[in-house]
Amino acid sequence: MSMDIASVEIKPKRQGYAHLAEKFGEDRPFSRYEEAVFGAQPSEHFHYRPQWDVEHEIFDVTRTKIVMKDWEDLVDPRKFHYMTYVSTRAKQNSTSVDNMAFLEKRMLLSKMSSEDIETIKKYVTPLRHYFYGANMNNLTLSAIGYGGPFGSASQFQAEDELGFAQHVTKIILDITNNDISVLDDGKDAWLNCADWQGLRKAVEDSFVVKDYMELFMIQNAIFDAFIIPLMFKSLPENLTPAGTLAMSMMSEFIVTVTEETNRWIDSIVKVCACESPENAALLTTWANKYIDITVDALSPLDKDAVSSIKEEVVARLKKSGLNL
Amino acid sequence: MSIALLVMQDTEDGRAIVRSIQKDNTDVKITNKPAMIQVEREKEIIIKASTVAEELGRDWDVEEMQIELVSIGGQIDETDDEIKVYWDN
Repeated sequence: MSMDIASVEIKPKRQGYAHLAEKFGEDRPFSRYEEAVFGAQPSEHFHYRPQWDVEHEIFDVTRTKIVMKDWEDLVDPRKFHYMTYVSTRAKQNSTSVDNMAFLEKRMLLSKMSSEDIETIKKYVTPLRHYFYGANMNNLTLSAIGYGGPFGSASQFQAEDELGFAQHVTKIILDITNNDISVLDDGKDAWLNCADWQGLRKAVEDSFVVKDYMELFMIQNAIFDAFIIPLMFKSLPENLTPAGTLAMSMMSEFIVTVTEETNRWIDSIVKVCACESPENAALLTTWANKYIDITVDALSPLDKDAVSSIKEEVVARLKKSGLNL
Repeated sequence: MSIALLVMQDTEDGRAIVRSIQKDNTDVKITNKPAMIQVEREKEIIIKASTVAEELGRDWDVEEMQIELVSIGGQIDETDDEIKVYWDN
């Protein structure tokens, strides 16, 4: 008896989800990112208004003065969904752990001068509280921002900010032999030291900003754009050579993650600004206002560095289509 | 005219490479096969690392192509920036 094995090709009826085929006007295999973010947020049939904000629906485009025809245009160029986000950060963190181990193995931390350690303690420890605030602001964006792509990227940004707070804690404990009282001193400086009060006020004022795109500009496009280069690029350059090396290696995680995140931030600003001249004008007004506030707030810490960073921030925002 | 051919695995990265080929080349013939995607074009197919990186949202090294590659028809010219599959006849 002979057996004839024939292969039958079964054509799938659909290549991708129907709501994506409808959105893009073609049936094709969609990427995991497209599947993860588009249509993820409810947009109709809201039954009750939230008790915490009776003026608006749970998701409501009128929570910001920015107007978009399609809020799902605010995509993330990094195409982060859970899996890619987590694996990217895990890889970056393992590099950071290797860097820390290297510093320890070659005893490079002990080569830092005591002035270096004092400088890092003084300027970097209070940032834990800045990053906790940044975490909260991005959670707000994630909660009330409109559209799946914007909401999910904001959630990742919130986790990154929390990660930065933890990373700062790790740096401080590493250079002080796990002296946890330094963390309390940092909180005390954040609350009471005159140099920090400008930034603390700016951060606390941002907590009550109602317009979430304004909050996005303040927190992500402006605060972070000043503070991260100031504390993790300018500050290490002012230490002794041993201090510069150690601090740059310890904080490289924050710097690389920020460089990557800036692609998302710039693209959001650009897409909103390109949508209409009204949007661009509004974003420009916010940018002008909060750049001034941030420069004033940070000037007590390092005036020269802040003014040179301001030029970079302005150039970045101009490139994204703002008229500064 | 000879047909340059590429067969990629039908995976997340493989699909991104195919989408970038569609962006950078005209008149590409795509055939979806079970677990594979066949790409055909007259004379040559160009894969640009920058376009694939944009599709994936991360840096992409041209050597990563090997992971997704099932079969190839043509000569190969590989630089840091692009891969060209072509027939020189």
